[in-house]
Amino acid sequence: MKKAQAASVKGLRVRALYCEKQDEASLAQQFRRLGIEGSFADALPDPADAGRYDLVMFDSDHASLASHGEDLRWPDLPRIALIGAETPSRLLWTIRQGVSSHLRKPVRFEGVLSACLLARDAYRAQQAMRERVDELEQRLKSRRFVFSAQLMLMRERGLDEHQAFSALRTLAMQRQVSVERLSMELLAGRACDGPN
Amino acid sequence: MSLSTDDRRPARPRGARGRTPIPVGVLYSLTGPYGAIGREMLNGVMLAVAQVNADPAFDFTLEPIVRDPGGSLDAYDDLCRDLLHRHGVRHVIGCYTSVSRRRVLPLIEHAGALLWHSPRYEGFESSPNVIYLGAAPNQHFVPMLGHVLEHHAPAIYNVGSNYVWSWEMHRISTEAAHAVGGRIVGERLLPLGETRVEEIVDDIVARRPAILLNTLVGESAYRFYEAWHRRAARQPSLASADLARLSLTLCEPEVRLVGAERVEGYLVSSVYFQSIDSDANRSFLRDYRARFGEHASPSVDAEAAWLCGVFLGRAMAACGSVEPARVCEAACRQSVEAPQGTVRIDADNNHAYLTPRLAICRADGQFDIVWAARQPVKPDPYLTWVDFASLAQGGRPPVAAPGGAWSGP
Repeated sequence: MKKAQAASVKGLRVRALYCEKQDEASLAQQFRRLGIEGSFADALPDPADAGRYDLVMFDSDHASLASHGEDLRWPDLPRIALIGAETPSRLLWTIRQGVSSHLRKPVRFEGVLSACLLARDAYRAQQAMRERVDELEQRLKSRRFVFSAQLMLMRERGLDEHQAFSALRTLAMQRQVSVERLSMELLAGRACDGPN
Repeated sequence: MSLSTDDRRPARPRGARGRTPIPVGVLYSLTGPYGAIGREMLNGVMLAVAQVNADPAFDFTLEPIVRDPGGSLDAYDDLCRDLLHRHGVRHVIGCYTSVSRRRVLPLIEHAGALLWHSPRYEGFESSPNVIYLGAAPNQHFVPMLGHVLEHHAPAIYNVGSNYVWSWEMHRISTEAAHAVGGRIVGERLLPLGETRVEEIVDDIVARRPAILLNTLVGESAYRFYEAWHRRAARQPSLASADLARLSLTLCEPEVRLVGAERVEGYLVSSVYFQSIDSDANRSFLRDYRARFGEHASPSVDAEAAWLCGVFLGRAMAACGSVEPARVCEAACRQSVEAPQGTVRIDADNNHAYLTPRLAICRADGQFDIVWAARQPVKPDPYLTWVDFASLAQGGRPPVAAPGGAWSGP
C-alpha cells in the first residue's frame, strides 16, 4: 500500500485566476519557495487543458468571474477561493463554485501551504466519496437483477433463499465478476452452465 | 486638555498660540471616476477641522495631509504607506469604495493606526482599526425594504452595477422578498461604466415589477435615469407611485447633476438629507455654505466625513492622546449632536448609531422625508438581528415621532 503522502506541494501545478497584482506577487513568491509550478491568468482554463494543472485558485471578488447567474465551467480540479469581501452574496457564490479550501485576501506567504494541502486532500476525499457513491448507486440499481436471479434459482433448482444467493456468489467468484453482473447474465440466459 | 506623549509620533514643535499640531491623513480620491464624491467628503472633513482648530477648548490643532489616489488602488496603497510611515500619522480619514478600504486595511492594522471611514457600505466587516461612520445595511436598506414591502406587492426587479455593493443589496432584497412570499421578477448587473441600458429598461417594463431596486452607480446610473425618463414620457405609469423606484445612493448633488426631472419620485434611503428640519442641520448648512460657497450642496457623504473629523477631535481631546487604541475607546464615549441627530459609536463593532430616513425626490431636487426612525438605530453590520419575515409587518424601526416636522428647508 502506498505510504501516506508527505506534506509537500513541490511540483504541484497551480493555475491562479483573476488575482490582484499584490496577491499575485505574494503567491508567486510563495510558490517559488514551496516548489509550486504556479501560473496566472485572467480566464478559466479550457476544459481540454485541465490535465495541465493540479489545482485552481481564483479571486472570489473579481467581477468578471463573478457575473451572476452564469454557471462557470470549472475544470475537474481542486479549487481554492481567495476571499476578500465576507458578504453573504460573495460567500454563497463561492460555495456554489464547489471550493475545497480558501485563503483570505490580501494573500500573504502564510496559509498558502495549508490551503493547498487541505484543498488537495479534501478534493481527493470528496472524489473518492463520489466514486463510492456512484458505485453503490450502480449496485443498488442492479440489485433487482440479483433478486430475480435468486428467485429463478429457487424455482428451477429448488433451493432456498440462502442457498440461491450462495450459489450466485460462488459462481460470481469463479468467474471474477460481481454478483450483480452474474445475475444479469443469468437472466439474459447467457450463463448456460449455471450453478449446479 | 493636553495630549500625552505616549504615542509613537516624534515630538512636534508647538504651533501658533501654543497648540500642538496633530497630523491627520486624508485619503480621498478627489479626481478619477468618483472624484466629485471625494471632493465633497474632503469638504466635510475640512469643515470639521476648521471648527476644531477655531475652538480654543482644544489644545491641539488638526493638520490634514491630503492625498488623492485618483481612484487607483495602487495609489491608495502607496499614499497610505507614505502617510503612515513617512508622515507618521496615526489617523487616516478616507476611502469611499470597499475595495480601496480593503486595500489599505492591512497597512492600517499593521501600523496600529485608525481609519475613519465615512461612506455607507455593504457591511460584514468590523476591524478594531476602523471607525465606521457610514450606514450599515440595517440602517439604510432594511428600513427601506420594510417600507416598500408594506406598501407594494413583493415583486422586485434588481438592477445594478456588477460589484460587491450591488451583489449584496440584491442578495438582501432577494432574501427579504422570499421571506414574505414574494419573488424577484428579474435581475441585471451591468459592468461598471456600461452605458447601454435601453435593453434593460425594456426588460423591466416587460416584467412589470411592483418594486424596482436600482443599485447602478456613476455613468450607468445616469444613463438609466435618462432612458427611463424618456420611456416614462410615453408610458406615464413608469413614473407613477404604483411602481416603487428605490435608490440607496441618490443625494442632492447627484440629483442636481442628473436633473431632478429624471429622478423625481424615487424613494431614497439615507441617514442625512439637506431637508432635515433641525437647528443642528441648519447650522451645518450655514457653516458649510459659508466655507464652500452659497451653492455648495452637502450630501450624506459630506455629513459623515464631517462626523469623522468631529469624532476624531473630540475623542483625542477626551483621552488626551493620539494613540489609536485610546482614541478609539474615547470615541465610543462621545455623543455628537449631528445634522442627522445624535450620533455615537457602538463599542461592540466600531460602527455608528445613525438615524435612518426615507425620502421622495422632489422636482426641485430636494427630498421630502416621508419616514424617519424615532431614534438612532444600533448598527448591525452582520445583519444578525434582522428578521426578514417580519419586515412587512412592521418589523422595521418605528415611524417618525408624532409632531415631527419633516418639511423642506
